[in-house]
Amino acid sequence: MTTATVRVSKSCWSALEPLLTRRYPRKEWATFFRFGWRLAGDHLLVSVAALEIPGEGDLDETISIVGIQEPYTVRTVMDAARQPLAVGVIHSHPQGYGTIPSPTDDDMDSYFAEYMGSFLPGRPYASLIFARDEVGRREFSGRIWFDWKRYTVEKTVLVGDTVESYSCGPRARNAIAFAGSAPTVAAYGEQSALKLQAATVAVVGAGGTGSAAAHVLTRAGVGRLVFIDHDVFESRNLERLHGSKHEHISSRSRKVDLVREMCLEINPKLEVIAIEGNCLGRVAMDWLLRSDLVLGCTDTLHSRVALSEIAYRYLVPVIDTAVQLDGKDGVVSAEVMQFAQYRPGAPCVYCRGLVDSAQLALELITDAEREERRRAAEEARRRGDKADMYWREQAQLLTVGDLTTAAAAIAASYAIGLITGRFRSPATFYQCDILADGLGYSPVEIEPSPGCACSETIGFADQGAHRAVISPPAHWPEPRIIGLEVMP
Amino acid sequence: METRTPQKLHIFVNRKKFEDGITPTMTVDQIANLVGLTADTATVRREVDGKAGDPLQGTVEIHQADHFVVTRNQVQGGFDAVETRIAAELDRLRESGQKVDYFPQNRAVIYRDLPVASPRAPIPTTDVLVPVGGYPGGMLDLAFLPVGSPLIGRVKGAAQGITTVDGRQWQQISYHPYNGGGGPPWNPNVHGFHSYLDEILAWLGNIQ
Repeated sequence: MTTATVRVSKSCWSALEPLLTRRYPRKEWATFFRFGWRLAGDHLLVSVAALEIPGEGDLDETISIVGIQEPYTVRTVMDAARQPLAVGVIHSHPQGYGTIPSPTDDDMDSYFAEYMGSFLPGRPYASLIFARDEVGRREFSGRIWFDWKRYTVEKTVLVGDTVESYSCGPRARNAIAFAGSAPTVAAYGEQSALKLQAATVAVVGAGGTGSAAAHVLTRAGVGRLVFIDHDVFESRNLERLHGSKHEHISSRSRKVDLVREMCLEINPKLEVIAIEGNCLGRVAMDWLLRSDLVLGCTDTLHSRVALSEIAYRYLVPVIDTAVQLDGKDGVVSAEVMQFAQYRPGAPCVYCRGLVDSAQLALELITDAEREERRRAAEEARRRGDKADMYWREQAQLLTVGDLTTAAAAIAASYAIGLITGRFRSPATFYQCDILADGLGYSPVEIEPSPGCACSETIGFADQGAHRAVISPPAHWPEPRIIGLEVMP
Repeated sequence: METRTPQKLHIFVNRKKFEDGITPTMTVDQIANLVGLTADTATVRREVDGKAGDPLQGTVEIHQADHFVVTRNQVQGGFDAVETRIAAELDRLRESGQKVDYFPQNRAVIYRDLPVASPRAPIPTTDVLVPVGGYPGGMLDLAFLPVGSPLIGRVKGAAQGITTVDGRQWQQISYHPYNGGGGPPWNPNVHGFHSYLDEILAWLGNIQ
């Protein structure tokens, strides 16, 4: 069966839900919406970008079901034809009547799927249904027609300061499978444990921070983890990489393998997707975008930029972590941790001024180009010119295992809070210094910069590629899946 | 000398090209017919530079490669009106304290814990399933008792087929209150699931 995930930002939902329920509990309402999409393998990812809110007379007020009038349809499709997004319709069912499509829905969808297909060839048509059950809980269902296939929406996710995930079909796992879940149930409740079990969390970077975060998340009962890293274990990693042992020094194991093995030993029922390579590659990106949440645990700028971008374009929330140890005259002066949350509507890495574009460029060039630049810098120095424009040696950021583990535990904790909705980070961005008074807590709350892609391409998915801020260099090898333990 | 064959007259409707049946003048009904609609059910507009013009009526002149937009006047979606009606009726029952559940995927209503008000009753209460069928145009008809119920054979009507709803098996009983079974003639303006309850209670109270 071909399946799909639909994501809606909470700011969009705050406008959408009152609209759909304006005639509740007995009567229905609807709206067209625009959405971006991406086909990740055989799974379709849909992100709602904008609502085409009906005006007066656009829907028939005299009937209890939805009656979409011709001028509204024509206006919507004509406007959509001038831009890259697809068009869908979402409507409500009366309270307590579920979201199974009715014969009337079938007729509407077969008509619109063909009609929209005529004006918007190559784009999907989505039909979503929302209802509240007898006690007011939200229910969703959806069908999407794309490229002569029909995709069934298996999950609708509302993304904001929490991640609310609504299964659209029978729940695959409605009993807690992880043997160690009792403390999680005691602390956050059974529903939270079930949410964690149903969640997919991607961890980008399987080093000191990523391995520790994976360790915490596995023990918390997260049901599926995606690990992405290109690196091989070395002896110096023994100081911080959770899951690594002395014997691994000689085995030249991949870091993702070590983390995967560690997590499966803790919870044999865990689903794991281990990917060797860079997060910018297609396979890795597909799995990132299928995740409910991404933890950024690398010290590379390109991955930080990429994760910030997927948060607004694909509505996948990201918690990014960085650590740094400073010292002077043989004394450690600061042990700094940084936590940044990226989500739709929040400022991106560029708005926050976190990107050194020159350094980013150096990460993306080939080894040959790197050598050439070093040579050019050396020649410039000999001439007495400035060498920085050709090459800047970047000092490896100093850190230690206790700091990466502490940061990972905090980031994993925020991830648990985001998924369960039980608690949240005190700020979308902050730094702290564990050696400073009051832990040096420094939050920075800013608004997105005017005109930035992070506020103008929310939910555009692949159709926002015209405003893409990063793409994988051609010389980087395509990532590959090296471990796949998932339920059939 | 090269001769050029005149191009066949064609138009685009909803961005699809049509050649067959295209004439220098056409009614809006003929244009709508090209995409399976009629002038009664759809609106026809010219499309110029990606914008839809005012609705057309009567007969229009056709030029080579004209573009038209034909759209259903109203596209309906949602739970059918009958569902809304059922919801309202079941709400009335719930307000009076009756337990009742609707199973839209099975098109069936289950009345819970109905009293079997007869001195000969083998059990004090029972659940009864009623199929939605063609309601409300079609009358409410039949009743289902849980398979194995001691009421089967004691209430009026023969036991028939079995169905599964709400995880339970139900035996159909050929009970027809609005069709010679003791109730008044079916009137959808008066009768519904709320009134059917009275017929069911009377039926259960009449144990053989």
